[in-house]
Amino acid sequence: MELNNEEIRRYSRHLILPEVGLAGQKKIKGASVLCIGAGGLGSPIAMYLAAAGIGKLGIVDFDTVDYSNLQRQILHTDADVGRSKAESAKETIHGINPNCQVVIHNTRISSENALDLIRPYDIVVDGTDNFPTRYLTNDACVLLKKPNVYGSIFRFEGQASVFAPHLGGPCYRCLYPEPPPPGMVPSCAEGGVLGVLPGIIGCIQATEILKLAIGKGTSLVGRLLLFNALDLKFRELKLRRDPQCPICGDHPTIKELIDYETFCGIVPEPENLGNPDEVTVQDMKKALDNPGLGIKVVDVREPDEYEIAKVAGVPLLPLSELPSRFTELDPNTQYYLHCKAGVRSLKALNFLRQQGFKYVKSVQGGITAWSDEIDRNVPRY
Amino acid sequence: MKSTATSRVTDAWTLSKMDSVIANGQPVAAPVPCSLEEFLMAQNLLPRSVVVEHNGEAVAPSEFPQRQIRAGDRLEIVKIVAGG
Repeated sequence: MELNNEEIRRYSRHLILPEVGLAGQKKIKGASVLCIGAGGLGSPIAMYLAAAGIGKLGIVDFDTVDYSNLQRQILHTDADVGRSKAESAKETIHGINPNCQVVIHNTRISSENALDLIRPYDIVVDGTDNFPTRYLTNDACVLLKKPNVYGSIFRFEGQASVFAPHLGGPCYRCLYPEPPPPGMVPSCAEGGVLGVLPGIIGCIQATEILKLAIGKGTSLVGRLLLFNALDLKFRELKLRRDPQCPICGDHPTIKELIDYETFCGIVPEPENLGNPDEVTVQDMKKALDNPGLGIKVVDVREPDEYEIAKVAGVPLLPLSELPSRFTELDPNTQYYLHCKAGVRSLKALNFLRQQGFKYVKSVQGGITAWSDEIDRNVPRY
Repeated sequence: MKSTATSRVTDAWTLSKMDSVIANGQPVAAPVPCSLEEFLMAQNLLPRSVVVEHNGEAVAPSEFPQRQIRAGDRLEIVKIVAGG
């Protein structure tokens, strides 16, 4: 692995660092990294790794660029909305450093393809946004003995670590043996995220990758780094490998990839459709258009969200205030509850059921579905 | 530093010290002595979805049911998040 004159000039600020030098830069050039997810975390990771001279960068993402991504996913520009994220990422990375070989995998990582996707790479970086893919990435990395550079974010807080049982550290399952039940932990789409937060956590992941590549410094193996942007504070927790871990423990019970959607309690689509507790946005429109039906529609989102987007004629009763205000509702009236996407309205429904309300339904897809299917003038957020 | 389980509670300061642990830097009332698993459940936390450091020491989730916590113990607790 040699560097040409153009590369020597490009990487000069690395080359004069004694800890990197020519030998380290050659290792960076010789390294291959698979970035799972080209979103908030994947953006700074891919861009900085390419700039730093990583030789081969794989990008896995099946999604397309949405307007709501642009607030933090800096791989993609306004002109990329609607395009494949993997394609858009490749173009941006090429613009930063044409020496970086970018391999795009425009597919959803699954139990069927994960091992083949990961096998050719030295290091894996987890920039995914959901529990099934995080457990899948972890298990595949443990089985293939690849370091898994982990980062995750929510609202103003982020966490990062390096999982590498083959290097003596813990894996993701040593920390979190089981996923939380579906709907218990909100996603960034549901709870929000500060745009710069993935920038900070992603840069920490990129730092760890470069250190792994050159073999210098003290890695985050065995430590969980936590960042709080509101307080601007870092803290750190010691981690240990769990001898009873089902995949990297002394007596592993998981020896091959499993069905991660089922593991995370996610019900397949066809069963979802028949949920008797749910109605559609078309049903909600009927209820609003025909007051004679006696069905009342209630918005259970928070006041800030109501200010951003609302359906005319629908009153607000936030889920957070429901325990103290449910007496404002009549237990014998029929209610359709809606939120942003249909998760919180189901929680509100369950709460009201416990209080003796018999005729409550949750609107599937919430105000987002309303905007898509009924009234485009209601902004999506 | 550590009170014994049988010592009598005589004033408010002792009471707060007796019945609380320091979780993420804040005093939190706890049914001490109890297991770490019981403490987490009492806090409405999912024991399989949090990382805990107990008095500066890493604790594996499989140890939570056996790990005893006492008044004044320091806990650092982190909840799982998945965003990316």
